[in-house]
Amino acid sequence: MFNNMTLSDSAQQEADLPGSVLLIIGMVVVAACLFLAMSLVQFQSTDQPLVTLVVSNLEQSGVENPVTAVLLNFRSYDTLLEVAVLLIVALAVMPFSLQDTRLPFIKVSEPVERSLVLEAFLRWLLPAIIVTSGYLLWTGAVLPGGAFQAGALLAGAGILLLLAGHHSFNFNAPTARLLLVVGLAMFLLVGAGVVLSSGIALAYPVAMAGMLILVIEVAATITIAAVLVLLFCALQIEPLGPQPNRVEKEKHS
Amino acid sequence: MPVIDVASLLPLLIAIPLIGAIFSVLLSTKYAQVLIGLLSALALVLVIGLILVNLPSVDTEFTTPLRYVLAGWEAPLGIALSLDGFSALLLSLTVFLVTVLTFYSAFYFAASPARVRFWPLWWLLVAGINALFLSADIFNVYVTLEIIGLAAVALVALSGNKAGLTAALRYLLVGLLGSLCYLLAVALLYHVYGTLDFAQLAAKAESNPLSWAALALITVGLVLKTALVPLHFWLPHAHGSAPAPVSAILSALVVKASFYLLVRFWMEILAPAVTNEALMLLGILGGTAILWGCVQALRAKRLKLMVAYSTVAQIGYLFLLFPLLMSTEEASASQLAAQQQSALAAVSYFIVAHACAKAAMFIAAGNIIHSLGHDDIAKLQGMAKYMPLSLFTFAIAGGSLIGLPPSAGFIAKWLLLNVAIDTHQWWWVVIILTGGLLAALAIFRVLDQAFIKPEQASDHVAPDNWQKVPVAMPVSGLALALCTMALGFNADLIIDLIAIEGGE
Repeated sequence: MFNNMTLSDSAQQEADLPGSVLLIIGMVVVAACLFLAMSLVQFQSTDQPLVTLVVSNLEQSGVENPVTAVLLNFRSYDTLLEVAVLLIVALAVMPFSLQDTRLPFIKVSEPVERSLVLEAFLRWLLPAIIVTSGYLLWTGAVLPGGAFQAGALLAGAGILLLLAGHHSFNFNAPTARLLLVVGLAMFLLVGAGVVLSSGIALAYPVAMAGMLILVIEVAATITIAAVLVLLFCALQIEPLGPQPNRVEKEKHS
Repeated sequence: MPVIDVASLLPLLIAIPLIGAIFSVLLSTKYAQVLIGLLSALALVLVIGLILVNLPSVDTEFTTPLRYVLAGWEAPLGIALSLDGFSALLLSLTVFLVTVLTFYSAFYFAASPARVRFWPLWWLLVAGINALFLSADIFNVYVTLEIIGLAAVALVALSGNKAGLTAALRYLLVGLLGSLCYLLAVALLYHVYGTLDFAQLAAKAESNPLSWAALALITVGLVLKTALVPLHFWLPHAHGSAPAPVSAILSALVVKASFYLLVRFWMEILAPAVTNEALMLLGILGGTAILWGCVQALRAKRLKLMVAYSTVAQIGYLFLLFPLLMSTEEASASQLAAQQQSALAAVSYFIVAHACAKAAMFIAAGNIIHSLGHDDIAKLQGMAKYMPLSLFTFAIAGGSLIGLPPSAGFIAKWLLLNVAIDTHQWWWVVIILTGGLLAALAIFRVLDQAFIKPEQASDHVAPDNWQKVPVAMPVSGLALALCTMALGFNADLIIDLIAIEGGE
């Protein structure tokens, strides 16, 4: 939604700060950094008790990778809120229009300019990307990897598909909305569902922890990929031409 | 004995708005979104009601805050939610205001296409605010600050015009800078003390250079988000150009959220690192904010801008808390604790009074814009004839902001003056009284235009041109304004709640 604002517009409104003010700000920042560096050097580093604590509890977390264990078990609440942050970002940049809600999610059309190399390449690449993304997701339980990496890779596949020009995505479609919220919804559902067995929100039963984490991660991967593709769609330079939904926005207050 | 385990209700305060957000994304028809909004608000009211009823009272032996360990992992490994008197008060305030504003927004956005985006963002913002007030973990607080910051920016940008977008973008950059300062401080604290939990940090914290650096970074970051003079430059435009319900929640709750964190850090978590000079510095900035905000409010040409500058001044009053916490040589530890307790009670009262009054004022201003299409103060001449209810709301809320008895604003200032005199800091008395006078000038300028001066017979006021607003819109504003009056008569409710489990 910030597309119709250009840099020069905001630069005109704001006169540049005078040089002396910039100099003072610069000196304050440098002094603060020096103080910080000095006090960090002076500080005798103690051993971090948390590292050993994570290792000793790893067996009960359901995964073997300490990063995944922290993200999705020990501090799963933080990750739950992060998925909510992703949803906010998606809503902030989403080009809303009420007419588009009935159109399908994926629209296939003949591109203006065909790029034969990319098309041929994608036939091989897309399945490979999807499989690799699934592998990253699965391996996150043991090795570095997980929902964020898998989602980013999957989003890459979506963007390549867009660039080939045959497909375009309509994020106002019900399917797209479902994709955007499924990560948060699944996280909440699992977090609340485990209350039945363990009595505490987000506390997975040890036997099922690995499976539940995988379920959450699959949903989160889908949402992350959808949000990243949406970001690409919303922020790319829009094609010239009349924009019917612009006028509606202006009406309000 | 409490009938139910109160602590197990705490996660619901975060889960309910998140569920509300998910459903308002999925079901985007008008009535579905309003229905979801009202149901979520109702559920929140029920939950907070249950919590307040079952909260251990002052007289009983429960003196520790309520704690709920999420995911079953105790801190420092996991994250806990906690609730004490101060956060219980702010949560109740949040739920109350959100309920009224949800009702108001149902009408405000009735004909606007922006509602599709508004409702999910609204509930995500509420989830963030509730999560912040409940959090007991400094990194988790960072995540909640991100939720609040991003959702607030997206809501400001809903206005869709160029001024709104510019303000939103500036708000985003300022918010990011504040968050990054805070995050750096979190990293420092974790490096030094090896834990992120509020209570464990408070037990381990000592006065060393790294604690000072962390406290300074946290203060700069959060002061930027709270918009204390001289870091207030983004607030008037962001609050002044957002849609009315958004302005109301931004002024009433969002700036209070970062102030709440400042109080937590200065009074509890990093209390050993606090010095009297630093407390005094925050107080002086607060005093400057009062005067500067009032003067700017007097000069503002647009009604909403005036209300937004008045927020800058009111934030200044909140920061007078800090010099009143100063320790002196002759005072004993128990005297100091009692003094800090009464200062915190005064400021909490101030937060509640300002939140209700400011939300009412923004609602009134929103109604005026809705019916007239502008909020130019000079063109409000004689408008009380057409919008008596909205302008009456404005007058009552203004009375509370000035501090006229019997409003809640009066009691809040009275309590603050008492503490200032008890601690022999008489100069704050002068500033508080001057601030009240200047606020009165600003408010009466508008009221004089609207009520006293006759309607101009010129062409820019075309009475048949403006749309009548649904009666529920001014009524919800009036309800809030009357609440500030009702709170003035029931001051002990709030002061008792703060006393539960202490601020310490």
